Amino acid sequence: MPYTFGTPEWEEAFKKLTQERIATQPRPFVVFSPEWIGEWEKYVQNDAKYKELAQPNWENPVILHMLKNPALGVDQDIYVKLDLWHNGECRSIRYIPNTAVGQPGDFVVTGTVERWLAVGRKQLDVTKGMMQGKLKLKGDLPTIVKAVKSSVRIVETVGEVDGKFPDELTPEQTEAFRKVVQDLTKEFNIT
Amino acid sequence: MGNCESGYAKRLLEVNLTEGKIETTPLDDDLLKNYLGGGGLAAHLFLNKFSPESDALSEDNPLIIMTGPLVGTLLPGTSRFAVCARSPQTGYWGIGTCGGNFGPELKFAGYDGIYFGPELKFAGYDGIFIEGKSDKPVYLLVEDDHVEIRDAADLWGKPVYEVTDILKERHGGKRKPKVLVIGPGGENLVRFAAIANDKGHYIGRTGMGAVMGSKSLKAVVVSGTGKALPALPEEYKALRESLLEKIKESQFAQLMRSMGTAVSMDSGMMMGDVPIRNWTKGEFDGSANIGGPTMTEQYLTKVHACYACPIACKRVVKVEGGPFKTDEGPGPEYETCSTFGTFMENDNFEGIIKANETCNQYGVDTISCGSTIAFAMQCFDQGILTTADTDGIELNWGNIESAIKMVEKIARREGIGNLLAEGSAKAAQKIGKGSEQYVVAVKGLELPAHDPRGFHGMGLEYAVGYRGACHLQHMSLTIEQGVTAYEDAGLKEDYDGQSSDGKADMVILSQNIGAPATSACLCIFVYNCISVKDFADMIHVVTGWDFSQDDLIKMGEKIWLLMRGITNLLGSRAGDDTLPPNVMKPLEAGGNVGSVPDIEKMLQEFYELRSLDANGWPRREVLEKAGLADLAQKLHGAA
Repeated sequence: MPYTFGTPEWEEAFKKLTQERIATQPRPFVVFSPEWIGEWEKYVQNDAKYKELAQPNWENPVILHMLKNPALGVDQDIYVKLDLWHNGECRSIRYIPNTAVGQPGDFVVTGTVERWLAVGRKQLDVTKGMMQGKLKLKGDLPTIVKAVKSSVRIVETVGEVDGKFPDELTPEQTEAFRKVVQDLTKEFNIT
Repeated sequence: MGNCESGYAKRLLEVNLTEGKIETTPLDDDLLKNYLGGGGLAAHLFLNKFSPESDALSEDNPLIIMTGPLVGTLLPGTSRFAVCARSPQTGYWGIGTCGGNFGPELKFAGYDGIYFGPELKFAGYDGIFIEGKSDKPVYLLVEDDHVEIRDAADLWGKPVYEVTDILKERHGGKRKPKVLVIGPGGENLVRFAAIANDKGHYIGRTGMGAVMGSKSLKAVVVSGTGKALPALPEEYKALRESLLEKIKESQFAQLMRSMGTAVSMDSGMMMGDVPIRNWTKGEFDGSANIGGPTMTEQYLTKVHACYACPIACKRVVKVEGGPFKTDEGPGPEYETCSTFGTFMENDNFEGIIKANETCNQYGVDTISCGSTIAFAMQCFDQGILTTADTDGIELNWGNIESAIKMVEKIARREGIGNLLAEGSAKAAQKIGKGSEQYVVAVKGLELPAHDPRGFHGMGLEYAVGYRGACHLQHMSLTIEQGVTAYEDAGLKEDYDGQSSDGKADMVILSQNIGAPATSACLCIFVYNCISVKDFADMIHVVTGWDFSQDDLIKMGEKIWLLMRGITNLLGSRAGDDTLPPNVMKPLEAGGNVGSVPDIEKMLQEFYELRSLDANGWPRREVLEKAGLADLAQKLHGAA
């Protein structure tokens, strides 16, 4: 029986899973795996540069939407929500189900796995990527434009957290990553 | 009256104001196929008529208004037209372009279906060629085949909005005519005077309003009852649908629709694109108060689009009260937010809206006007100008009240305004005392608000531009900034703005891609959202002609060489291909710290790749190969 998204039980179980995997999985973690998300959360929460650039009254979540790519172990679309708050606080970074995407105030940035990897490797400037349609942004544009510096900073941090990108994995590692995503889907109801 | 079939009316309206003569002449297919229309076709016509010895403000300088094949269709971004002549601001090839239409359904405050370009096609003309000079103020009335030169004594001296209303009322019934008007700026031969397309769109660059003023031509009024019919109606419909969908999906289009061009202020500050304090500073916290979000949230009353355009980047704004109170009217573009904002370290948005309205009413280019005032502010800051020179006006940084007063003085040529009405370059020659170093212009045309220290390729583009520092007659700006990437045409998807490597290649291809599109009068904002192949398809469905991507790029080369050659014939030499001192000094803060374009290296590569000689002229063999033997002969003499 999967946990119901949004409940305290879901949150507690997810935290527990992340901590266990951080303690047990070999480093560097696979980018966008639960353990990597856990490390990324800490990194953003402690990022002085983001705090300096962030809007004091910011209350809008940013959701990174990665389109599925079975060849890289991603059999379904993945949504990762950054719960960002006043004065540069990052309250959490979590997977979320697609049914929870698109709430008022959400900013959703969509791209293929390859595009996100290019962003992480600093091969694709996120602003240019959005202009050229390689990444698609949905949300209230005047709000995000006012926060352009801090938004870019958030995406930049993807490439600053030590990690192994899905296209760098051996076939065995890819299968293991696929299984992790599948298990997450079943257990945490993030389809 | 007649319909424009397959893209063209195939008629040019010729008007000689000295003789009062009006006639129409045919435009043949070969000519249209070679240049498409717009600036390219105008340049060809100009080459055959002008004398290099003639002053830009003399009766011998023809003024050419030209549309393109797509204009008047319902394909997106096709409302534009070009106005060309020898520029009184630079002395070289002058060209300004604009779009238009706020649509009858969006009628307000005197706006009413503004689309001059399409209307000219509906009247049965691809363009108007105006020669000579009237001995009294006149305006040109075009109502299909009825063309008349009318007395404008009662209009002379009046501001743009009032004259627009008078002419629309005088010549309009239920359906109003479309109107080009000059304000007092054009009448007083301000060298950067603009032509207003009704009230909301301006042919701002290179002083075409002054050329109109020199001919005592106050306005051009057009009504047409024809239609623009595509050659291939079914394909046309399908293409239109697919282009609209593509543009709808474009992030660039979404940003423009959401906040207008002023959105570029916010992202531009981060990228090091926005000039501050006459190009001497890299950071200005006040920029957050004068960008797209502020305009949208505090002053926006309506959003409008040009004819047949899904982007809808035009803003309508109002300042409700206070010292900068305005009527509801056209909102400032990004360039104006910058030239009357960051250039002067002014963060009062209401002041910028008022300055924009003042420039509009007097009919002067907001880029050159704001830039010239910022130049004067630096002179004031450095003690080169004092209140004794400025008629008592404190021209200190950030003082938007003084800047607005200065706009009025410039347009009326009063006091120091008479000096600044010459533009910053000519003014500096008269001021002396080292003021020349604060001029930020190329070939006499003030730089638009994009800093070449953030984008080195733009620096090269400014330096070699045939009309001076230009951001619109090519695609370099958006390509280098990563807004668009024509990878199919051979450009990279990503360029490092702060590198000079490979930029000559990029600039040349951007020019060649851009020239046929601007000659077809396609809006470059729409072009940013589509491919060169899409553009070729647009031409195909409208005209029936087949151009490959390579054909269009080759045509672009020819058009660029033609305009460059005309500028050379008018006296430009290699030494004019340069960047001004203020932009060659590295900044200590902001988005482009320490970055300076390697202009010598880029110019060397550009000259080699474009095959320009030591004079900066296209070589004879290059011109002949491009099909420009006439130009080769004029430039290099008989073989």
